Amino acid sequence: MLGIIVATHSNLARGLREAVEMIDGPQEYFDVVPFCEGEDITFLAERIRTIAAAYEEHGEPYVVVTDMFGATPFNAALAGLSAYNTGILAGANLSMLMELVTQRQSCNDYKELLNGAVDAALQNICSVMVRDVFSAGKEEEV
Amino acid sequence: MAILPLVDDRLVHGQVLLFWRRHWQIDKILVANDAVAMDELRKSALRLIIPPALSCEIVTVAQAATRLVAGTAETRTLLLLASPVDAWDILKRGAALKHVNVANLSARPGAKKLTPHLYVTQEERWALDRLSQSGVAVTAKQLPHSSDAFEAGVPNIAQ
Repeated sequence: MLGIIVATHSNLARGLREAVEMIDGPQEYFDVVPFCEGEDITFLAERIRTIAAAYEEHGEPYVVVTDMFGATPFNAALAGLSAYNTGILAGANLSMLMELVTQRQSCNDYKELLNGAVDAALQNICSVMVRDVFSAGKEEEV
Repeated sequence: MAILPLVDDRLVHGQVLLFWRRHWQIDKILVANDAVAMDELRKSALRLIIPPALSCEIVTVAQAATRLVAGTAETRTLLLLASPVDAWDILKRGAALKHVNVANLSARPGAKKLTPHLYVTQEERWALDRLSQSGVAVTAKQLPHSSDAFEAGVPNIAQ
């Protein structure tokens, strides 16, 4: 099964895992790497690499999911995984993780899985004005 | 050329791209770092995350000093350094630095904690002192709107 490693600022990664587990139950092969104020980025990169190395040694696929492109957890993942052939996602949200968690057992195409996760994240990002939702009904009351 | 020196050992990251970039209205990032300038992997990683709208150069500290001394272009350049030691080096090489802001220095062996975002080695402490003594305005704001941890001067490192 594809491993998921979530690396974010502060404890967002832990919060995301808790939210996933609230929906889908306890998760295996799901590691969280928080990045805390003042932490050395080289150490962060090494922590990520160490978790990834276990998957690499067993020839098992995995993906690193970070919170923001170009921010420190993403940069650390890139640095730590520079010797490996793996993918890194940025923009972690609950929809992205739920897509990974629900598809990782059945999906055999790694890139397709990652693209699907990005699509799921994007499609669930929107802005809704409450009036627009509820005023539609009023027009029928004439 | 407006030079905006920023010391941040995370180099390019969210706070730089979201806050310092806009606050200082920068056109260009000049990363001055010997280790990174010699490392193609690290340079590639930086080029990936720096937005296309910003021009970017990644050079050694010595090369950055040369560029700054010679600089005539009308650009607002973020001079990004990993350490105050590099800022002092650039000043010694003749570049005119009027101010240096220290945003983040992480916890490392030999570094003492000044604030949650500033851990400073003895060498860095000396560099900060020398910069101040040379007339450079040294501040320590993690973000443009943060308070300045060096407002009352660079603190002593408790031994």
